[in-house]
Amino acid sequence: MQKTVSAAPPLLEVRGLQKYFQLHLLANRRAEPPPTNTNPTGTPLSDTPPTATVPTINPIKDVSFTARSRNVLLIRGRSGAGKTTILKCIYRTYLTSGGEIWYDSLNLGRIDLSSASEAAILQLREHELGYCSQFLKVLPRVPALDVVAEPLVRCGMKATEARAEAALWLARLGLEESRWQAYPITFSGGEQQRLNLARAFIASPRLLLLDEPTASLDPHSKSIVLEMISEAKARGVGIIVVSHDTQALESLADEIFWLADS
Amino acid sequence: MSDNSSKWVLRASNLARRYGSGCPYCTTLTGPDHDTNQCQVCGTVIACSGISFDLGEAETLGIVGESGSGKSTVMQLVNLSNPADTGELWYRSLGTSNAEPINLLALDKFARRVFRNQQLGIVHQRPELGLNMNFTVGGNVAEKLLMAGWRNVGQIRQRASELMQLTELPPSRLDDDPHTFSGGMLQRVQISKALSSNPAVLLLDEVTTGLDLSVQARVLDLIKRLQWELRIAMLVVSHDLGVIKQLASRTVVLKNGQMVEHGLTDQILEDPQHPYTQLLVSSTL
Repeated sequence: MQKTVSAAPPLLEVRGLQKYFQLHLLANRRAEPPPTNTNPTGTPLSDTPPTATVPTINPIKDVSFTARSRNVLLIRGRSGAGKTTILKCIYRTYLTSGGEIWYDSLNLGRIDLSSASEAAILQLREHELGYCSQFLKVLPRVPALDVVAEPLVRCGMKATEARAEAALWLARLGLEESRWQAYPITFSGGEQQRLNLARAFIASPRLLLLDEPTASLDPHSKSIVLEMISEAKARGVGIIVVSHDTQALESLADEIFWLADS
Repeated sequence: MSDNSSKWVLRASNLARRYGSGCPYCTTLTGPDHDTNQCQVCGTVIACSGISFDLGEAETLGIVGESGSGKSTVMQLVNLSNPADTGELWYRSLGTSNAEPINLLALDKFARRVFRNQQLGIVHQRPELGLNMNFTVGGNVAEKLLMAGWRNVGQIRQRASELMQLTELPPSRLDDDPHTFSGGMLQRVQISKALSSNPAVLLLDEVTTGLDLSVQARVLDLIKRLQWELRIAMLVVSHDLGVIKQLASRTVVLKNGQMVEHGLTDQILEDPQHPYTQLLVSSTL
């Protein structure tokens, strides 16, 4: 499972992570509960979901791994195996159903992200955690430059300085200057992806979560993104990447975590 | 959802407001479990109860729920324009070091009014609730400044003009009648008025409801920019999850006057836990 064993101290330790999604029971439309996991005598096995009476889907069971500073951890698995779910649990977009996610924070010390207060998570998101999702979701009618500058402004930087910094990232990612004042909704998938990446990298996080960072990018943009990941790694950032593009990312990865079905 | 470690500006603790005489069964027979906020025994309406939250420095907290869930009542309680029956509302000035929190509900009515005029700004859904339509636009801004203690006419006009520029209104129309302004412009006049005294907390009550989509986007743009530039704490009430998604970092969900769920906004929208929140999220266009 591990390609190499690194001596860098753990930045993030995921222990026994579990996530069950409840089916939304709307207007009395009830979904069938999943088949109960039973042995031949009919008694439930110990790993039956704790919310067995509520229909649940897509469980992630007992996932444990460690991410380190100055390392790239690549998570692989088939579509629907729960790769993105793991990233969202770390970023607390999803609440976990079980397990612990210990993060070694610069300002808050060792903290369990699965049970930390909302204020602590917001503080970590502002200063230490970076997340690049597969899709760009931003306020309509905000120019691309401001979209990228936003994470810096939220950290307290002046808007003009943040825009100057954002311009550097957009230029590096090869987005034409004529498009910086355009609205991202008019952009192609690849251009939106580059905005997403710029937003994730710009605030210099300590732990970077990248969800399919090279999907929908042309070979030239892809090589720039790989270079950016490599530079971030050299700066000491811990990086967790979810990707199917193993050819490009395997060479950068220090460890590979395979997510088995169920 | 209180957190002692955070730098909160405003802390609500068990706020409640009822309309009616009340009886011992009011609290047990109302709320989301009974799907009503009217007591079946005495007919008292429990507009809200058990409302607790922290509003952090430069943070935007969203309050969502359907009509009648108690959103606007919570806003009125925080705006000190409607007296709470029980609970506490603490304010802590972050500008001064070692400032002791004050319980706003324990203040006398004069001190409350001074606090409201100086430290709170509110934007209502309907402009006529927040503006005096018989005054000019500049007069409306001046009214708030006068109540906050400003007395120099030149300075007041200067401030009103600055605020009109900030909210993308032409300063040349400072002396115009509000009736000659469009709905979106009136919302921006309200925002100018609310911000005039440099309040610590801005309250936004359904600010984009009833506006057409392009105007709605412009008002949201403006609020987002003010979040950036002024780093002011905001409480946003809306039934529109899209508005909450764009503005709020944390969200409280209300149903039948009670909090059913709270969390980070992206978590509420992507991984809702309460069946009512799941219904709200699944109903979003």
